[in-house]
Amino acid sequence: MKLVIETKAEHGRAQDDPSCAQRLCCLADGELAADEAQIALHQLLGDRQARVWWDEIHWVGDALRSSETAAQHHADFHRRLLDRIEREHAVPQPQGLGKRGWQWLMHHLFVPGVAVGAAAAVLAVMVMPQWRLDAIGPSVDRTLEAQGPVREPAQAGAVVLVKDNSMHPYLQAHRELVPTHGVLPASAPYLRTSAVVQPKREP
Amino acid sequence: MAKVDVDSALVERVKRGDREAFGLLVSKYQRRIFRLLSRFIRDPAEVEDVAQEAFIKAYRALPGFRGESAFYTWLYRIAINAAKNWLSAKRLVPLPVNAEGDADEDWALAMNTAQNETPESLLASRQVGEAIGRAVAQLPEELATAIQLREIDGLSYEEIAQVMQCPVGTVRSRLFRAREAIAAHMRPLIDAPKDRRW
Amino acid sequence: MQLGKRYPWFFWGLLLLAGEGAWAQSGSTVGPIQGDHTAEAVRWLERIGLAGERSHYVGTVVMQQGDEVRVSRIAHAFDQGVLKERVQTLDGAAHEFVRVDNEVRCLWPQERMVVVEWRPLERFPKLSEADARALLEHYAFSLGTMQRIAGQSCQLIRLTPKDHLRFGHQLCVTHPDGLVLSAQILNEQGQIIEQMAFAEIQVVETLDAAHLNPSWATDGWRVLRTEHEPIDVRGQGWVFAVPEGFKRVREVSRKIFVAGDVARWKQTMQSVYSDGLATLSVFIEPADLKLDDGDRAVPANAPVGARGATHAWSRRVGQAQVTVVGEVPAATVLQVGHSVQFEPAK
Repeated sequence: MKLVIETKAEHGRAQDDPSCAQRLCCLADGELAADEAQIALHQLLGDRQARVWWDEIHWVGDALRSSETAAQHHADFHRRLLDRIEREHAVPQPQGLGKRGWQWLMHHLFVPGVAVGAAAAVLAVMVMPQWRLDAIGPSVDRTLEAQGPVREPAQAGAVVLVKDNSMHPYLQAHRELVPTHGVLPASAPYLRTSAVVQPKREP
Repeated sequence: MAKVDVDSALVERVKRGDREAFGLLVSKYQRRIFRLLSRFIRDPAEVEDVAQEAFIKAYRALPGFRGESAFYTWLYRIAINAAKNWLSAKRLVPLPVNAEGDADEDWALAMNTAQNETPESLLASRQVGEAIGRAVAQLPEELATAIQLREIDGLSYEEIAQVMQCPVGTVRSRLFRAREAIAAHMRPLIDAPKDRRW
Repeated sequence: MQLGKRYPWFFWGLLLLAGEGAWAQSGSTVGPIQGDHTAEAVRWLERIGLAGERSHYVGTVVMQQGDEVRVSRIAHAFDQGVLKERVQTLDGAAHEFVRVDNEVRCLWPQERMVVVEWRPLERFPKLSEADARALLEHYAFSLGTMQRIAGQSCQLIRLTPKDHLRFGHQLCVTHPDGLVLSAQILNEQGQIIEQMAFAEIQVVETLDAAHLNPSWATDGWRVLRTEHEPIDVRGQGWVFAVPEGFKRVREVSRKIFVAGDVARWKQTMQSVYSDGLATLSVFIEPADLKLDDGDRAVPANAPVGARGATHAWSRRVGQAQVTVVGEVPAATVLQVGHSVQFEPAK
């Protein structure tokens, strides 16, 4: 089935061949069986006016659902995009999406690693009187002696970004039980990526 | 016979090297992607840049897409990632605690003051809203019903036929005529002259 | 559903108070506002707590931890005394959290699983004046310049820690309601290590249930409910130290689900503390003396894990494994972890 293409826009609409145009509607709606779909696709890809109609079908759909979305019509975007693809000879290659996490580590919003020595120095400074032992029941809170020695050296001073799942059960449990009636939004614990634990099958 | 999902069919063609097929996917989803990105990025020119990045990434990654999700879902995630990367790149020098004035405003901007309603966008969406309202109001009732059941309620032709108590062939015809009428009405708003569109 | 940007009616009362500088609470220390900044700070904090609980809104939030960024859609309502929320992630594997008061359902559509997290119902859940005053003992309150977030004019508020044991916070809140539109956590060098902000928000008077209900029908899904019950950790012979100002919120004996190649449940004790801004959990459980295949051994001198403002550290104490987690500096989790000792009662 051949679509007549006119040079003048007002005569060359795909709608002038209603069966083709209607078939394209059905294609867009996912309502064509394989054989008709092949024909429709062939026409769509081979014919400029058919592609115009395709564009209009979807624009109408967007407009019916959301005028804000439909208003986002940038006329030249499509052409410029395809031009760029042509220019870059962007032959599709197998390429995973890949997280570029580390490449975006740009402006040091990541906590700098705490060197062992620095940690030790900090610990020395922080040895009380700010510390107190939390005691239960009627007993009075104990405060640590001002010059109490740190029991173990801070050999575990390095700070690393947690990317594995070993801490997840604890993060989930922490998120679950922290108070939500504070200054920060109740949703904050559930926004943290660190606390998102994707369940696996139960054992 | 099984119905063909057009996105999957187009994706298959892109994998075989058909760039026009990719263009059809772009024209189908570009407005939604723009809308998504404009929630985080204020400047329309930058929205376009990031949208272009997103589609380029999608094009390059398509060979690896195995249909584990719908194409649009996959594209949506690529767009979100592109927005995130843009936000990261926009992050400024660390902010000293006691800084005032400009530095405070800079970080606020970087943290996306997505005022998604600029005067221009408000006007544009209002124009579209009014035009589509008029267009639908002028449709014969059976056409308006059919197009709304399809585009807004997402019913299949079979389901629409049941709701409207008519044959599927009539549904096809009504949807076509509704779209034709609305498109004719809206054409002044769909920017570029057609011969420049591709 | 009515959409609008008018503030809910109950905020008008607070607006008057703020404007006139009148004292609303009895029993507070008396003094003019100009000379007593603590009182003003207390009122700000109370207002923020109230707005956070009582507002109705939908919005899109961007959360950044280090180099990780996550976008979520949030709907929040306070419906006849019941707090309702829905948090939908917009990237990564689809999932959402649906809160009704003290219970949060985590929906995982691909796994067809609901994980129910819950806390005991609190009698007085609101941020009280006493809570605010306690917070101000360890954080200095100051007002910064006005900002614009998500198209709204906001007051920048700084809560600067008075010691090295906690992080600083910067909030941008709507004025005069006090709704938090952005929150940043800063380390000691003044660098932002974690932040969240609304990219867009609509504050409304009522919110349709459609915004708060789960996005999927969960018939036939597996439902897992976490288990925990109160326990006295000191009664078990364990003591540890926490920074000044951290008050114990609760202590429970509970199960945690340890994923891995061989997934299993572990019984642990969890003590939760808060200073009003930061929270800490201390976990104590029997150490894994025999490890199954695929389990990751936690070495005795593990480094401190960090993600944004959250730090986590684990160490062996005799036969026990101790893990400390919290939105506090690495050195703080180290110190808390180091302080854990077993001292059985005589």
